[in-house]
Amino acid sequence: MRRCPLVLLLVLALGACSRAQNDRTYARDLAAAHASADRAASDEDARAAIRELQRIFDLPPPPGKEAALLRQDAADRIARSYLRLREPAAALTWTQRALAESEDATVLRAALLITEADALEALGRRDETRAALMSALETNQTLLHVELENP
Amino acid sequence: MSDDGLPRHVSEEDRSRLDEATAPPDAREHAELTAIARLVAVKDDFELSGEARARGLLRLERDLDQHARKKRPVVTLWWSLPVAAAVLFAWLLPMSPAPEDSPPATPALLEAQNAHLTARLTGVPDAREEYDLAQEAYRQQLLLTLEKR
Repeated sequence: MRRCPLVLLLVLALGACSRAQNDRTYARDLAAAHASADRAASDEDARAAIRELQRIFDLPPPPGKEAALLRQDAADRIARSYLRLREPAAALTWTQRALAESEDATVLRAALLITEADALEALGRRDETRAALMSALETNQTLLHVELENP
Repeated sequence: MSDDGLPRHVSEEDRSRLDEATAPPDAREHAELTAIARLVAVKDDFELSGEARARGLLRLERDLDQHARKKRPVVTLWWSLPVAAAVLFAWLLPMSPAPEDSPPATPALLEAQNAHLTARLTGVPDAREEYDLAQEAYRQQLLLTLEKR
C-alpha cells in the first residue's frame, strides 16, 4: 500500500513519455508527407503524397491546438494537391470536410476558405467563389484585430 | 421511649394488609423465588473461561488498532511526495518556453493572407507566392512545436 504513490508517479511519468513520443511521431510523419508533396514531380508522386496525407488526417490527432491546426493544414494541402492534379471537385470535398470539423476562427480556417474559393473558381461557381473569399477575409480580419489588440 | 405518636387503634383494612405482607409465601410465590435462587446459585457458569477471555482481549486489541488506523492523519510522508512533485511541476510550468495551449503566433501569415485576399477581391496583382511561403513557414513552426512538446 505504501508503494502506491510511487507506482502512480511512475505510471504518470510513463504516460507523459508515451504522449511526447506520439506527438513526435505524428509531427515527423506529417513533415515527411509534406516533404513528399513538395518533391512530387509526377501525378503519381502527387497521388502518393495525397494518400499519405490522407492516412495521417484520418488518424486520431494528438491533443492540443498545434495538432488540430496541423490537421487543418494537412486537409488544405490535400485540397491544393488535387487542384494541381486538376481535380477541383475532390479539392472542394476536402476543404468542406475540414471546414465542417471546426468553426473556430483560425488562420488555417481562412486558408481552407481560400482553397475552397480556388476549387469553386475552377468549377466555374463564381458567386460561391466570392462568398468563400469574403468569409476568408472576415476570419482573417477578426484574427488580425485580435493580433493587434494582443501583440 | 414513649409510643404516644403511634395509633392506638388499627383499622380492619390496615390489619388485613399487614397480615398479607407478613404471611408466608404461597405455592406460586415459593416456586418463583426458588427459580431466582437457582439462577443466582449458578452465576459462576456465566463467567468467561480463560480461553474466551483471551479471545476477547485479542478482539478488543484488534478493534482498538483499527480505530487508531482510522484516526491516522491522511497526509503521511508517502502521500506528501506526489503532492510535492505536483507543486514543483506546477511551479516549473510557466517557465517552459511554449505553453501547451498557445500555438505559435501568426502575424506574418495573417498579413500575407490579408494581402492575398485583398488583391483577389479588388483585382490587383496577386501576392500568392508570398502567402504560400508564409503558410509553409507557419507549418514548420507548428511541426517544430509539436515535436518539442
